Amino acid sequence: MIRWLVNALDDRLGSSTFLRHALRKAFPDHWSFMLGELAAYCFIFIVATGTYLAFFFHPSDVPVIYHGPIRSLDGRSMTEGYASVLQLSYGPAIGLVIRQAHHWCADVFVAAVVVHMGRIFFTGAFRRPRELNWVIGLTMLLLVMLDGFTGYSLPGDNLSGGGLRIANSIALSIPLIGSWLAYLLFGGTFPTHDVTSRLFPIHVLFLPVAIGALLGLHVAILWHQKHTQFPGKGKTERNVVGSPLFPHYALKSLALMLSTFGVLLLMGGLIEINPVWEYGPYDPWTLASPAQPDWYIGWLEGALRVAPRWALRFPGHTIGAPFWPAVFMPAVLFGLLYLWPVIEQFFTRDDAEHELLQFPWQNPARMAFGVGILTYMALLLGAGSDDVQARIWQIDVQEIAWGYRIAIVTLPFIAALFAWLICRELQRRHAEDKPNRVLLIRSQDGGFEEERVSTP
Amino acid sequence: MTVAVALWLVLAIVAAVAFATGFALDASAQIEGGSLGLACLSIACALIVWSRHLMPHETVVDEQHPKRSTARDRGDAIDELENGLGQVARRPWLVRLGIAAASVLGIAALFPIRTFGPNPQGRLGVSDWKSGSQLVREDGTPLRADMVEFGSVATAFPQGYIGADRVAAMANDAVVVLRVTPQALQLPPERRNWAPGGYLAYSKICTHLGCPLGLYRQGPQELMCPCHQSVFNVLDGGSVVFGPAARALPQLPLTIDADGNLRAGGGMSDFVGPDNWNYGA
Repeated sequence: MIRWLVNALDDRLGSSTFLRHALRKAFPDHWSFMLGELAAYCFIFIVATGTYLAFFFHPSDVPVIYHGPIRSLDGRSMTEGYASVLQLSYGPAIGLVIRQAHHWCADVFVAAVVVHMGRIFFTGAFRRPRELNWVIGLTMLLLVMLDGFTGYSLPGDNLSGGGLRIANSIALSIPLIGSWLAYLLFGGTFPTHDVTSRLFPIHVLFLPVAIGALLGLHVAILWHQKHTQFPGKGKTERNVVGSPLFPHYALKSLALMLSTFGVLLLMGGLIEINPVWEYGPYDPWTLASPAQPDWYIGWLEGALRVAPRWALRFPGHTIGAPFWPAVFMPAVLFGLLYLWPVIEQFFTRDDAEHELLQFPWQNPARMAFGVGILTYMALLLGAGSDDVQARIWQIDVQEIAWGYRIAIVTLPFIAALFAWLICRELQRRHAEDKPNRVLLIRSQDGGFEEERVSTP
Repeated sequence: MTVAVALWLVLAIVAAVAFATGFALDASAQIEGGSLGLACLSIACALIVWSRHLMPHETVVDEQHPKRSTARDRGDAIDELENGLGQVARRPWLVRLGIAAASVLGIAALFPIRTFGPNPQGRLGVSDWKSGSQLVREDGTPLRADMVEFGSVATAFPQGYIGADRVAAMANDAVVVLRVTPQALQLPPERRNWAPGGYLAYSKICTHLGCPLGLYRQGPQELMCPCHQSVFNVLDGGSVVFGPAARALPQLPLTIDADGNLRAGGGMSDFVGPDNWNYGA
């Protein structure tokens, strides 16, 4: 059977040369190398569950009157889209399981990408020759976040409608093109009847296809360039040491895929997420507090909350205050991240090809930058739920907001400094731990001389 | 370890059967998601034990080479490109015309984007409030002054501009009506008559990002936005007290007619909703 299949394919494609090497391809044995795979398996899961959901979701803002099992909404006017989400959630239980698993998957997906990129960043895996895959990966992160936002904005509940109105208003704050951009995106003064029918193809077609294409390119480049590896016994800049793809690594990876699916299905069944029936249909003149986005948009929410009121007013025109935290700051931030491989190359003057990874402490400046950025993002994320914290701790929300403002402009620098100091200390200790080799030189007259040789 | 793998696989079968049974019996989401997830996780556990303990651990070493091709291949590739482009460049004026044609086509192809939406000029921030507009509630019933209590807020719209087909208009017209003691008011002199009897109306649309102002803090007499916590003072004409909003709330002048109904004494004091490129100082 196998013989027949391999021969049949080889007769037509000459595939055995590739297959022979592919099956024995070396995959380094380190857990952190599976984070990217985790993200890829999330992509498969989210496409599969999303396809199921798309069979039942009606992307329409046409108003209908709801009659169904949810008493509190009986007789309410709502969009056809929202009604179809309610029907899906209150039909056979598997509908709700898949909807919740889909939503959880989005949250896990972005987390997996972020942690994966953290590993890539802090170990210097993005260095030459892998700058391209860093850029592709960062682009995928942005697309996945955008796909998440368009996804939780689809159901037409009050929370998602409120989020879309914020997106519309952010567009309005952009200089020169803002007003036109908002009107072209949403088809007029928000809210229009075209919102869901426009978001839908973006969410289920354009963004997933773009992510899928980039993912294919990402993996193809990875395959061609081969894996990096941590330094260790027998590992050099000229080899890759690891388990063979088949069967060892394939089994491990398959186990990871099934674990991902299993955990997401468990979460989908057991942990409630985005109960849209509690929020009610979108009603532009009411909004309950607290109103929170999904976690990966939380940093943007936090930035909007703590940003200063820098509206620039000219005769006839205004650059709205939200432009700075919601457009300008993210553009600078992601611009820096996109350019980081070049920035680092510029400062270290190191443009050699690197197949061996660095331990994070081996590059204090990079560590300081990364820790600073992560602290900054974490504080913004925290500021994005300051109203919830105010409620829990019984403190005035304005005091918390001021606390975050002060923390955001100080703590990232302090954290970066500490990271830098710790790395320098670790570097020093590693240098001390290295046994210095002693070279014994026997001179011609029979005496011995010692020469200390420090190892790199 | 063979037994462990077998047990995990049996558990997977049990969980999968449990899911199928649960599905047939229309069980709860907890049972269906739980059993399906457990089945996946059990197979995963079996595979992990299998690969760790039942398989000889092999280490393979792949060679890693510098990525660049040979100097000759590089040179050839560059030559091919340069030759090809050179052949094209032999007709420079045709090249220029070709670039012009592609550019014009590219720009022309952008024109259909215009169908995505109307021109924002004259539409943004516009509300339907006019002098004399009667304030009505969401269901169309008139809002009389005696319906607005101290410490509570009411949402109102201009009469004639409500209904399921006017949601977009209502989303921008919504005002919040409240009542304070007239002595506490600190309105600017030109708005002296805008709050008869301490009845006040402000646009309900936050000037930061357009969220509806849902929270009324009676103690300090402030309206707070639930989205980004901008706070507006209702006593002095809607000035920003705290938060990221950069513009005061537009105020709607009120009058009370002979029947006790609230009516607009004029248009909104400013454009409603968030700042945008089309309005300036």
